[in-house]
Amino acid sequence: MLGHLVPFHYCRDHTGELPCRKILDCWHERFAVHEYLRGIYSEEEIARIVSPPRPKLLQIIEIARKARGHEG
Amino acid sequence: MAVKVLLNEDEIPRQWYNLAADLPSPLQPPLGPDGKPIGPEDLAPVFPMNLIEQEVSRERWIDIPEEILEILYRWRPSPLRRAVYLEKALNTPARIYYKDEGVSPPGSHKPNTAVAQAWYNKQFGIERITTETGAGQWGSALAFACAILGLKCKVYMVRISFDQKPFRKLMMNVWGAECVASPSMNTQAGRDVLAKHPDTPGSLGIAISEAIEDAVSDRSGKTRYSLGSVLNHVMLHQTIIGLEAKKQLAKIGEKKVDVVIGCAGGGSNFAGLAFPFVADKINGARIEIIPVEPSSCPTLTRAPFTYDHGDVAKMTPLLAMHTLGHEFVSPPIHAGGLRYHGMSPLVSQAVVEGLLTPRSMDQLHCYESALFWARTEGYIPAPETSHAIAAVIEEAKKAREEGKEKVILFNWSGHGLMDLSGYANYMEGKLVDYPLPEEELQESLRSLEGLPKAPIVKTGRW
Repeated sequence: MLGHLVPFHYCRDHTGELPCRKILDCWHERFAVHEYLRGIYSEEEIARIVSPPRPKLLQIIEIARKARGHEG
Repeated sequence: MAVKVLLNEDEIPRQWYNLAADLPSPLQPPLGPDGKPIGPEDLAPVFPMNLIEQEVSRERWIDIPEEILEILYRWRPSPLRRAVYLEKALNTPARIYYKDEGVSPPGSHKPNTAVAQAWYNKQFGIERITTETGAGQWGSALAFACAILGLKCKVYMVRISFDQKPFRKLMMNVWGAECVASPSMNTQAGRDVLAKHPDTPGSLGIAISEAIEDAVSDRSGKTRYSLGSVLNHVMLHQTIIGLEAKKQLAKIGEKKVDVVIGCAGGGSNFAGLAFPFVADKINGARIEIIPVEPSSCPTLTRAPFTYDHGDVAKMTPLLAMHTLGHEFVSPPIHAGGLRYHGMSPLVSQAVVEGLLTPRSMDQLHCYESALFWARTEGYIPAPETSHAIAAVIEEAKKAREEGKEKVILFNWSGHGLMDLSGYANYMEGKLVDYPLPEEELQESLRSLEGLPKAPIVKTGRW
């Protein structure tokens, strides 16, 4: 999605939380990334990792509500 | 033989076309967590109300304000070119035309909506617009639009792109936009991430959060957020492409188009060219209209139409879209702009109706086609555009085999001069094809079992 090459550790650790949801998309041709993830994460976490994003309009509304919550 | 068809400024279309008015089966509205449709008030903190009105409009034609046209005249009407050199190389009886959207200042179709969105924001009293960008195509388009309209523009660019791909960032700076690496210390979302992970290279998700937070937390109310794909008003603004093409084809004496082609990721450049021809098809014209997507990431060609859902808790809002399900795994691809899980709802519904005939292409075939194009027509296409070119070549060969003088029209959505690394990878043999195997698709779709199914609403006319 970024339009350029990225190293695997970016996809693995880019937010310090769960890996990027595209990690399987982008790396499974190179090695058994699903097996790699299974060695680290639970099935529930893997399901969260590979979940498609919410529809754009709804993501936006949700982020806006959260941000306005920050304002108190 | 004419190889380009130009329109004068006074021949430019003066209205956008809204397919939502003519779809034989109505769009299914996005639902909130409470099961009720999302309303304008939900969107008001993020977008100006004049754009929200366009987002939900069912009016067939929407006037393009004169002031927007005055800005678009810088590169519009864009040329309609005839690919005579490709035709000769293929020895095809087909006549191949393409809309050249690479002539805009940022080099793609994106400013068609960037200019419109910036103008409507300004009309609403907005003084500053925020957005996010990855590699920078959208960010540079919005920066350009804001520069022309005298608006402030702030772009949150994913840190790793900010560091590794500086030229789009420089384009934004040249146009006066503030481009910051995301995550930043400018927002609570960014500060939260940096507090935990000070060396993070960022992500698009974080950048979106920062851009929206920046907009909605401006207590002056003078800032809004802007998005460059997927939404209905974005499709609307892009229809000027197809409306111009119809005038240009008429000008050169073409009475009928047989095939219309565009690459499809979020849907905007495809919709921009195709929707005015979809209207003709609804009214009885016989046109094959083909959105082209990567075979490694098929959302239109093989996925069922169903409700998508965003997390394992299944508590998030639902929207009718094409989907591949939770466990969908797409192989690598260099056409980043086409790697969407979801598609514009308008495009999805047109597929359901049978008005569109989606097709998928392998990336190696696309790059091969792009090189063939560059070595005949001369222009280097964006990797996304190469998907459309691959389909055009297929159709031209088919016309040769059938001995038919078909008229083929496609959208040359942008140049690839900022995307040469993908070409380098192809020419160095680093790319491989990996179409989604049927068993992998079926495994992916099993995650959708038990979820509410979108009612398939179609007239069955096509």
